[in-house]
Amino acid sequence: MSPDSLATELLALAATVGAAVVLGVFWGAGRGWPRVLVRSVAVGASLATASATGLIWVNRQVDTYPTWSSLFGSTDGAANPIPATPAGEGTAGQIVSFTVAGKTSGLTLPVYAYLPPGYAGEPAARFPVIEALHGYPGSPLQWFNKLAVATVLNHEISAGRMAPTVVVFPYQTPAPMLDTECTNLVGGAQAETFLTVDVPAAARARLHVRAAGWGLVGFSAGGYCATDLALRHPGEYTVAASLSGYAEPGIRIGNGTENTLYNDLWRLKHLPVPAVALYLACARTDRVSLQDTLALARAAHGPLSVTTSYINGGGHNAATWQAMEAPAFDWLSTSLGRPIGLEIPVQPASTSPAVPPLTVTPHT
Amino acid sequence: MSLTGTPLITLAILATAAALAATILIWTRGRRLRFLLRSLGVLLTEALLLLSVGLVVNRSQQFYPTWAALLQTAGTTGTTFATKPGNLDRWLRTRAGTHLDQSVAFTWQPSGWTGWHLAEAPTIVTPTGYLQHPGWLYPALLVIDDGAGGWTPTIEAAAARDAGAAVIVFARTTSATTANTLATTLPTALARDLRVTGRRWAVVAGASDAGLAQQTVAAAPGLYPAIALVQGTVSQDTPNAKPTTHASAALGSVTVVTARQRPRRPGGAAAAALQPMPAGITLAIVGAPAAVHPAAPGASTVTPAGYRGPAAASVYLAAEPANGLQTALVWACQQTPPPLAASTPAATYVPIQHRSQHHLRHRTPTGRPPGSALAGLLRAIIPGGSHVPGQPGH
Repeated sequence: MSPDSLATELLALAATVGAAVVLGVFWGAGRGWPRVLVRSVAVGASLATASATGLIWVNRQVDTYPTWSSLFGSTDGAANPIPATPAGEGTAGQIVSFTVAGKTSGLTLPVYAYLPPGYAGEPAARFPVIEALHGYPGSPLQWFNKLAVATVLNHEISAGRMAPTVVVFPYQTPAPMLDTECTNLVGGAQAETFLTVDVPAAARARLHVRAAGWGLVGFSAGGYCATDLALRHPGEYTVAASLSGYAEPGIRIGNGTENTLYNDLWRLKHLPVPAVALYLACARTDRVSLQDTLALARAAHGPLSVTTSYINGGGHNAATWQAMEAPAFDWLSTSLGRPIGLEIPVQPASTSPAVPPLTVTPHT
Repeated sequence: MSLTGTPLITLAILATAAALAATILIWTRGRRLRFLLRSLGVLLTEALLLLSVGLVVNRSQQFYPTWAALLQTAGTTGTTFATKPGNLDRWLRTRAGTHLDQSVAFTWQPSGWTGWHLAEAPTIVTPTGYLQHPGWLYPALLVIDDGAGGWTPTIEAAAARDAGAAVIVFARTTSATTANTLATTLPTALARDLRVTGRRWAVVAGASDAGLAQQTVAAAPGLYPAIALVQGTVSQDTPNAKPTTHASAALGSVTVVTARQRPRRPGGAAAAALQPMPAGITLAIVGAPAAVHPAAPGASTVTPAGYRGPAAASVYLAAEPANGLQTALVWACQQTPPPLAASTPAATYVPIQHRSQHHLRHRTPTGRPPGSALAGLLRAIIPGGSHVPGQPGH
């Protein structure tokens, strides 16, 4: 029973009701200081259980604390099982996890990886890679629990809209409530180095993937991360998709670079622009993200290319990102190099419902 | 009443205060129902308090800006996928007859090509299976050469056969050919005539066209993020340059394009390949081991000397002149995505409108068609070209 489970949520709700009943029943119990003690404990328990119910609901939305030990600073999240995805014969990818002991960054954090269908049977192949980044507060589990990323990837790959691709889901912070925004904090966590040096090195060592030319995708704070890391590390990443992302980190780095080197609008204005491609998606109702997306699109200039996608309705929430997810992954796949050395192309399921009808009307 | 508006938040706060006041008032009233009323009052107050806090946070962060966003259900898409066939698809199908699984080579004469200042009309080689998969979009490889590299149609056909799943365009350039033509005009015409993607192609150039290739990449870095420059000249006496039996068969089927010699461009030698280009561009130098990179006969990645700041990654690929084009095409093809079905259209509204789903029963680009293991190896080039009757006139 993890902190983000429905059972925990129901238990907290039951405790809240129980505490309210205890408060009502034992309010008049005892006399003197015992009565004060009973009342204090009952009021405290009632407030604590109600708060816990609310916080557990929030945690279920963002998966910031996927395990009990993570409440105390442990990063054993990778030991947490990933929800099972609908499996078909040969059409379902596999989720694996491993711990990256970052020699360069000094961070040791768990990483999940989606291995596409057919991966295990192709030891000589080299697959393209997408690094998927989560929001704040949050964890990689949000991709699996709220965005159903494994199902989406299985669907898009089996439909042929996406090439078989390895997708890596790293943690972006050593402490759940520490917002790194994928930067190297002065005197603090070197998240940028971990994500751009240590994670790629570990993935190249453990998985058979293409050496460079990776893609990035992220939502919310992870969207800023994707855009920023692509602009800052074009040798590692050639494309990035930002779902409801931002143009600046919104935190203090420690040396003022949140206004310069880590501010993407400043970068586009003052520094040479790399030849990378960005996909920026947001809901029109998401004011801050929309404002930043429009500003980035206006500031972009060659050789950088920007594709924008706006959604009416929606907001800054998981359902909106789920609507953006498949087109973003498709777009990324059309912008990455192909798998190299495939002996046997992945066989789609004969019952795959993925491919819609061919329409021969002009494509605009 | 807006989900993020002040009235709702005010109402929630007032309701919380009212619930608290009511709970206090009823605290000592009633007899048997007293305990029940107390508990319900506490729970109601707590629920309204949490609701008020949630509304304030939601107003600040805009998680759910509207009631529709809050009540939406996702996970189902009702999208329609559209793939536009190339203008030449039907003509190619007619030409291929029953050999739909085979590659097709033809001389391409799109509207206005004579204004492109090419020595000849470009030759296009479609990949194996192009006609079998009308829902797939293919990347394109643009091969430019002024004839100085000694790439004969035979060599080109043999190289194209082993390149991979991509539409390959062979263009003989002249001194008047411009980068704008190769970066804009030609791709636009190609996208009209064949099912090609709009991004991430690659360009392969002979050494004497290195400057033009780099200008083309600079003009359209999103379209050509990968560039391969082939050093050396294929000697017609080189044994390896002689076509194989399979390629010989192809030779007779391709319109023979006579290479027109022209003066080499100034600085068109291999050194021009190391002109700095923006980061994000991948450059491959293909040539004899000693010539391309004396320190590392294999492949390596370096940053061109003398360039400050982010720069294109350079890869050196060792290949004898006879195999240079083939090596470059294989590398260039690997930099492009595989053929893919039309992408999922971006959602334009959330909650997504549910519509009926239709499913197309055709193989996926990454799927293996029945018997394709052999078919993939046996790629033949069938007759085609401008002289073939029936090609749509442009």
